[in-house]
Amino acid sequence: MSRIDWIVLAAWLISIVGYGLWRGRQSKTVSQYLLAGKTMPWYAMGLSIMATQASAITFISTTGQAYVDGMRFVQFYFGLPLAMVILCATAVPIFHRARVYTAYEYLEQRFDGRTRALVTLIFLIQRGLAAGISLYAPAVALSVVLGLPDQITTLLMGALVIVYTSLGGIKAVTWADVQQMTVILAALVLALIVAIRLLPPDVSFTGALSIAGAAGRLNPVVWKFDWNDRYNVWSGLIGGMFLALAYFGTDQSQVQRYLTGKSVGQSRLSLLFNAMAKIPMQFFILFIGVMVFVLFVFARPPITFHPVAYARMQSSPEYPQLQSRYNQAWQRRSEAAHAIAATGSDVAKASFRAAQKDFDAARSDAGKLAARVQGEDVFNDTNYIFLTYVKTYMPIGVVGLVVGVIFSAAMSSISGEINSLATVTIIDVYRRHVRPHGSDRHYLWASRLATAFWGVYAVVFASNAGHGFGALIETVNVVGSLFYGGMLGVFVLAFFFKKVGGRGAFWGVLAGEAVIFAAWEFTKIAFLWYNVIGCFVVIVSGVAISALMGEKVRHAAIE
Amino acid sequence: MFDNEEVRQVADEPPPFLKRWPRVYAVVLAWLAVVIGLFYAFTRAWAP
Repeated sequence: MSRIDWIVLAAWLISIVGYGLWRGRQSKTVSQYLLAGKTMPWYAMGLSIMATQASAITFISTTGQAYVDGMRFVQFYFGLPLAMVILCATAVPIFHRARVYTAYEYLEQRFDGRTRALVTLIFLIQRGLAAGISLYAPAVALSVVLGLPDQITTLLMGALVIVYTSLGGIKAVTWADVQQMTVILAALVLALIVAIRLLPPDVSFTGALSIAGAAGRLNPVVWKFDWNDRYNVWSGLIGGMFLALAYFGTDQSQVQRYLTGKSVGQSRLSLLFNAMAKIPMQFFILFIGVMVFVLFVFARPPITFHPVAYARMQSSPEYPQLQSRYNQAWQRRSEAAHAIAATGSDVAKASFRAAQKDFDAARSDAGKLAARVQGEDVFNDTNYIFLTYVKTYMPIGVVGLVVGVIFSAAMSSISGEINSLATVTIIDVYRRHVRPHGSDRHYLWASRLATAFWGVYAVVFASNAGHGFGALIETVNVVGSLFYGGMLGVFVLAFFFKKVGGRGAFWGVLAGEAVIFAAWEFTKIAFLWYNVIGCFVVIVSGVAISALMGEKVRHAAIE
Repeated sequence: MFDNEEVRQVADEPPPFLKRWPRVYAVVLAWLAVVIGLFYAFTRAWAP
């Protein structure tokens, strides 16, 4: 990066912290610190929810995913609007009426302390792991691109997040998210414009679409049903709906956002804003990845996008022949693409597809070589595609801004995570089990310390993740889906099954989790379905256990 | 609740448009159907 890029990056990061602190300066009570005094407008909550979801790794991975696999990933979000409507009609008014700080606090009102403790524990494990990974994954990607040790990027992001989150609370987090989301969207638009403008003069926009279409990259809808396929309309609508229900309805990092609303209506509007904006936004991000793919059809990309692996593999004896094979495949593909842009003929498209196949085969062999020189079992350079594009083709100054945006996308996710972890730690653990009758000032400072603790934990976890926990990232992505089904099931029992009591809920969650873990261990079912399976098992077993035990139910919290 | 502070009770209110929330929900679901329809047309138009 140039000096101007570094200045832009530094100015951007300082502005995030400064703006967050300025916005959160009035957080002087626990309610203000954890719930922004319930004063937030819908657009701030809506953008904050969106920013927390759009982590840096999602941002750089999604474009990379479109590059290698096309746009079908967008179907993952088809269930989100369905979930939002259900939550607006149920969870949002229920949580507001219950006047709670956390979703799990409501479970004690409805069931008992044991069920609340169990779900709290599940949340702390799942979200605690995610917080470390949210920091680690982008820190590593950025460190490779910036040429800095990953400990430096981890520490930099972690320290900035800890400062504004622990001092300013949820208000600082939310307004910093609004600022970040606005600039993220602007940077994405810039990235798309630059990719299109860099195409050769004889390739029009529709010509670029024809090339992407011939490569099978313009595939946002796949109707074919397959249990083992993550991305088709059915897994998106059904599995995605259950995942979104669990994420927005039971995960404190999201629930806390809409609990800050100044009215039930404002909270509903924030979720419905996401329901309508999320799918087009993901389509747009994927489309950028597709245009980057078309650009690299004409501008030869490196044989692998991972700079360190690329440097190492060049000393391997197989490298010269592999690079030559790759160059020839790229040349044939580029010529065929020019023919598609000129004629659009089926012959040109068939020729392009054949060249693409050879190109993919050469890249696959390069991936195997990279894995070997890196000493890894599996090699994946998807996260480096967009960063390579930004670093190589974006104008001076904009590179710094886009890298800053990737930093801030990571920070917005981490700030939401450590804020919610601190809230649950104080409300559901410390105040509930350790010190029930402290003063407001005491809990405010305890919340600040808990936020700093979780921030430091995330930094320590991320700093050590690369040293002995290499395969953990992939595992942790699955771990999240292992718990959401159980959490969703217990809230469905709470909202809709009035005859189910504490024992049914508690043992139902354990039964649901047992079945999800069995499905994970012994079947190949795609992870999106775990949420559906887990939820149903919790409901059925919860209802059955409650009926068998003849439980008495606390009706006061249901209505 | 905490000793000297309670979580503020917030009001429910009608939506700023369409008067009733179920109508707003119907618009969101119709939007989803339109988006899937447009994406399907897009997929068909640029199929390999």
